[in-house]
Amino acid sequence: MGEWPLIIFTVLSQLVAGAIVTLWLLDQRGKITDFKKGKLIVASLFIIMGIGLLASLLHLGHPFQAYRALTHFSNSWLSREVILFSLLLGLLVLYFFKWSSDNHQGRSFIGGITALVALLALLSSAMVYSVPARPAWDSLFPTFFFVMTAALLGPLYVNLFLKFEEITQIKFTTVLGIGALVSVIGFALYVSSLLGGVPESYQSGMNFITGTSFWLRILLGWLIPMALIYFSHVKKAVPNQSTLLVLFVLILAGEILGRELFYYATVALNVAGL
Amino acid sequence: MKAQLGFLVDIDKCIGCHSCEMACKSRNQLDPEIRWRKVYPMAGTAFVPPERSFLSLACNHCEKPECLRVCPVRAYTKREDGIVVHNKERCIGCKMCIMGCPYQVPQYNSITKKVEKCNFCMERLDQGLNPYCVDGCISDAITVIDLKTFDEFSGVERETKGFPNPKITNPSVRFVPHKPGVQIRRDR
Repeated sequence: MGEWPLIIFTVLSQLVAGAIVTLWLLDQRGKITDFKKGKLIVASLFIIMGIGLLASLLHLGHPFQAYRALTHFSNSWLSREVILFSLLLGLLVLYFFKWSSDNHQGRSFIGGITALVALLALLSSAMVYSVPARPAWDSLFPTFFFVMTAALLGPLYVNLFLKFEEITQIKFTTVLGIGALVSVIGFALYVSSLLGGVPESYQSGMNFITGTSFWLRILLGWLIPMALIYFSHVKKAVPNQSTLLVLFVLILAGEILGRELFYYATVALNVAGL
Repeated sequence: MKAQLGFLVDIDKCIGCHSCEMACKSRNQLDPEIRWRKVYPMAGTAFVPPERSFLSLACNHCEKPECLRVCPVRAYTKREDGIVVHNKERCIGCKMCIMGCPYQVPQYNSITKKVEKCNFCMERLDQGLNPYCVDGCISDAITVIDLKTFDEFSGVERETKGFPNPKITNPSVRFVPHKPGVQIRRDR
C-alpha cells in the first residue's frame, strides 16, 4: 500500500480546507441563497474528511491506537495535525446544523471558526514534512504545494454545487487558470532548486523528473486545465457545470499524481555516502 | 541532565567484521530484518588513496532528538543519563520518527508493526555492564563515553565522512577518524 493512505488523506483534507474557506467567504458575501445547497456541501465535505481520516489510519501499524496521537500537541506537528483535523470533523457537524436555521450570525461565527481550524490544520499538515532529515521537504515548498492544492480544488468543488451568473463563472475560471499557472511555476522553481541543492536534494529532483507520473502530473493537473480555460475564453464560451466537473477531475488527478511524486521522489539524508 | 552518554567509534580500528552488529542483534533477540547497530561500508571514494573503511552506527542518543520532537504519541523519552528510550508500548507505527531521524536509526518492524531502535542496553548499563556491541567488538573500536565529562582529545571528531550534519540534533557520538595509508614510491 506504501504511502497511498497519506496521498489520499492529504489531498482530500486539503480539498476540504479549501472548500470550507470558500463556502464561508461566499456565505459572508451573501452569495449563497439556497441553504439546502450549503447544507449539502458541508455534508459532502464531512464525508470526504471522514474518508481522508480513515485512509490516514491505514498508514499506521496499529490504527486502533491512533487516539494516542492526540497527546503530543506541544511539540509534534503530526499530533497537531491529527487534533486539528479531528476538530475540523466535529466542527463540520456543527456547521451542518447551522445551515438548517436562518441565523446568519451564528452560522457565520461557526463557519469562521471552522474555516480557521481548517487553515491551521492545513498548515500543520505541511509542517509535518518540514524535517531536516529530508532536504527536499525542509523548506516552504511543501506548505506552498499544500496551500495550492486547497486553493485549486476547494473553490472548484464548491462551484460544482452552485450556479453563478456568467460573468462570475468567467472570472472564476480566469482566477483558476492563474492559480494553476502559479502552481506550475512554483513546481518548476522547486524542481530547479532541488537540482541545484545538496546531493540528496539533487537525487530527489532527479527522481521527480524521471518519475513515471511526472509528465502526466504536468499535463493532467496544469497544462490541459489551463488550455481548456484559455480556449473557452478565446471562444467566449461560458464555462458550464460539466466543464467545471472536467476541470475538477483533471486537477484532482494531477494533485494525486503530484502527491505521489512528493512522497516517492524524496530521499533521506545519506549515511556513509550510500 | 546528569550525564550525556554516547559512543566513541574508532574508525581506524574498525575492520568491518560486523561483530558489534551481530552481538547486538543476537543478544537483544531482534527480528530478522532489524538491526539496531549497522556497519556501513564507506564509499570507496571517501578517502585518498581509496581504502576500505567502515562506519559502525547505532542510535546516537542525540542531545536534541528529532525522533522525540516529531513523535505524536510521546513514545520517546530522554533519561537523566542522556539515553533516548523508545517505548514500544506507546508506539503506533506511524513511522514519523523514521522520517525525522537524520541518521536513519529507527526501523519499522513489519512483524510487530511498530518502530524500534537501540536503547543503549540500558538495563545492562544500570548494572554497570557495557552494551553488547561494545563487548562484542573484537578490535575494541567502540567505547561508551559521557560527553559531560569526556575530554575531547585531539584527533576526536564530531563528524566524519558519510555522517549527516551533526548540527541538526547534536548526536552523542564521537569518531576517531580513519588514518589513510601512505603510498611510498621508490626512486629508480
